[in-house]
Amino acid sequence: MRKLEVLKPRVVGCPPRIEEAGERYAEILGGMPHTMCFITPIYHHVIDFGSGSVEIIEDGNVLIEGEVVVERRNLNRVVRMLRNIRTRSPYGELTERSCAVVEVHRHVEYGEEFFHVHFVCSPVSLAHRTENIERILKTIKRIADRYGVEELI
Amino acid sequence: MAYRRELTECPPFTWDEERRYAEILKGESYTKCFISPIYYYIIHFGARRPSITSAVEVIDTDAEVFIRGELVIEAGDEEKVAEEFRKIITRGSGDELERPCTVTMIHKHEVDSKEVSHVHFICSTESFIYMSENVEKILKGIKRIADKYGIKEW
Repeated sequence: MRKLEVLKPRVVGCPPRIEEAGERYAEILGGMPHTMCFITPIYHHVIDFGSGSVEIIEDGNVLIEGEVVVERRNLNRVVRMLRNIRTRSPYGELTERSCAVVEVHRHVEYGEEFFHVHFVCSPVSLAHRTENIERILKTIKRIADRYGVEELI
Repeated sequence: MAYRRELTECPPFTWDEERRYAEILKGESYTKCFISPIYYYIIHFGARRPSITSAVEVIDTDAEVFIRGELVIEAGDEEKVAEEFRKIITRGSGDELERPCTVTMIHKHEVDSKEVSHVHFICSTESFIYMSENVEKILKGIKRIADKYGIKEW
């Protein structure tokens, strides 16, 4: 296994399909493409907590995605709370709403109904990266404590 | 040349982070570290009128796709634009509908005594099977919004 600590993002040549994809994207947007390819470390943390799980993916950008299981009556509140998470923008203000609910689906287990709320969060600022990740996780924890339920399996 | 994601050892600071995250969430955690290709596309595009400031980044880590960017619009159109972003629909892993985009931040600029707004957004689509279809749906949605509300910042 390679040692990661000595590795840094390294610009590499882009495979042909990537150049084609860049051209296609630029065509859709009617814009000018600029494509770069890197080989880079990616740190992937997965945390399972009773009523859901979270993945934190860091590769220069931070992407937090996960799901929380809730009951129907709390669905709207949970969606609102996730949308209301505030993080610090690159300008230093707490004005960024970095989380979105991307999908909600329903499961029925032993006649009981459960809703899986899938979310994604991506704070932009590198300077406030740690603070922003912790803000997001703390709110997810608050939501899970208040509204999360364990699905019967 | 094609590259593949390769599992590697994690540097010590990632273990500290893992412990901290697990402590906040009071959960069971594990961390994996990879050396991975990242394909990074940046597209500057014209809006209703040509703009140099509207741009989209498509970041493809070979396992996730993440699209973010900003649009310049007239002050007053923010709500409509945020609503349009929420209306973009993609296909989830189980064929269900996803709403992968959200407006994360809006900031205002005054240029030549005219107020314009910069709308920042992120989109993250999950399904591997529908990845190309989903990325194209998102970009087409963004283009539609830009054509309708985008302006050039002077």
